[in-house]
Amino acid sequence: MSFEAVFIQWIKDYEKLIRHLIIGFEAKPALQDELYQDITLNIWRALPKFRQDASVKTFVARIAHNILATHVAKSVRTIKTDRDIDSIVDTDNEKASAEATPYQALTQQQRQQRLAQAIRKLTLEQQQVITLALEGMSYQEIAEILSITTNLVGVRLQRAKAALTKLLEAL
Amino acid sequence: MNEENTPFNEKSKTSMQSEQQKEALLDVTTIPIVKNGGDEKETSVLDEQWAAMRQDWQAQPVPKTDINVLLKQTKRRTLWAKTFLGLNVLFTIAVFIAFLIGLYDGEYGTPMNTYLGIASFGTAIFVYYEIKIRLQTWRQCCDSPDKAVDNAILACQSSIKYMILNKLSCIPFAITGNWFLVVMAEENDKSPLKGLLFINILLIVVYVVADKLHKKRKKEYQRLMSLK
Repeated sequence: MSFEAVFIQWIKDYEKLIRHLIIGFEAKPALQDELYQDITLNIWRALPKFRQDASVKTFVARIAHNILATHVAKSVRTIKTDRDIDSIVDTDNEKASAEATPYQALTQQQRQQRLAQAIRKLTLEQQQVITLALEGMSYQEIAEILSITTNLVGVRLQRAKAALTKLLEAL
Repeated sequence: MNEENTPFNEKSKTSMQSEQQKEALLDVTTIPIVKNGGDEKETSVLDEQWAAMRQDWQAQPVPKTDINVLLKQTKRRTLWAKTFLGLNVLFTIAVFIAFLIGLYDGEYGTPMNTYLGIASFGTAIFVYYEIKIRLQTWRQCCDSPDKAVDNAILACQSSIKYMILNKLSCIPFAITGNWFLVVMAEENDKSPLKGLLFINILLIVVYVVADKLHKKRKKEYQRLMSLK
């Protein structure tokens, strides 16, 4: 199979995963598209380096996380954008129900928005583990992607879940 | 491409399957958050909440990408980046060869030779920094995400040095450029005014752009350092 065919196959298989990871780090749709292009460009560049004994999923996720971590670290704009989006989401939610609605009572779309909004408020380390865990990845896979031990994954995930629960209650 | 070198083959599929087997042993949906005095009921509620969150997250709609367009864009971006770098290297070699020819043959005259000498030295430094920055960026994509901030700091430092170099290079280029134009105009009995105006405006533009980018990178650097 040529590199081109492999690239197309990978993008087909992991487009959803990449898009979901981006949502956890960036709120603005235009920047999300920019990040998606950056990630795919880096996958294309890194394709010849792919070791055949490695998992494609972890390889793709690792590249995506590198781009996203750098983006979060560099970006000052995101904080402002997040606030803007948050205010839009809040207004929408207020319109949907005049009273304070528990998380589970919201529509799925509202829950998804709140969840993404809350994840973007976590620390970078917590964002990394929680987005991967929400994608259904195992401790082992998360550890491979982030180059940390499985024990550390457990610790970070536990903290991230606690922080996320608090944020969701506060929203 | 050779079939044996194909990155996406049966071996990688097998590897993915074995990863899934491991996943069965370490299922994240059953990770307990906080066991408060063995309160299993609370843990069960938290597990249910987490499972619901995971379901919501995975059900998020995503825009569909036209993969062929994406592939074209990706190839074009890669090609442009390599072309620009290649052209810069070729230009540096060409200026250096022209300087050597001028030096040994003495055909161009002192002003031209001096200018070529300074230009070949200057462009070599620029190309060195450009290659360094590009290699650092390309290497970074497969590195550990835990090192992403450190890598971004390194890239930012190189970029800052490059911008400082750009700004500082305006001084020798202004001196040699103005001197070169005046000497050439005298030799050809022409007014150097238009040339001087052009080169100085160009240098001011280069300085202003480099200064703006320098300030932007400094801001990024400070933000990155605050994360450490």
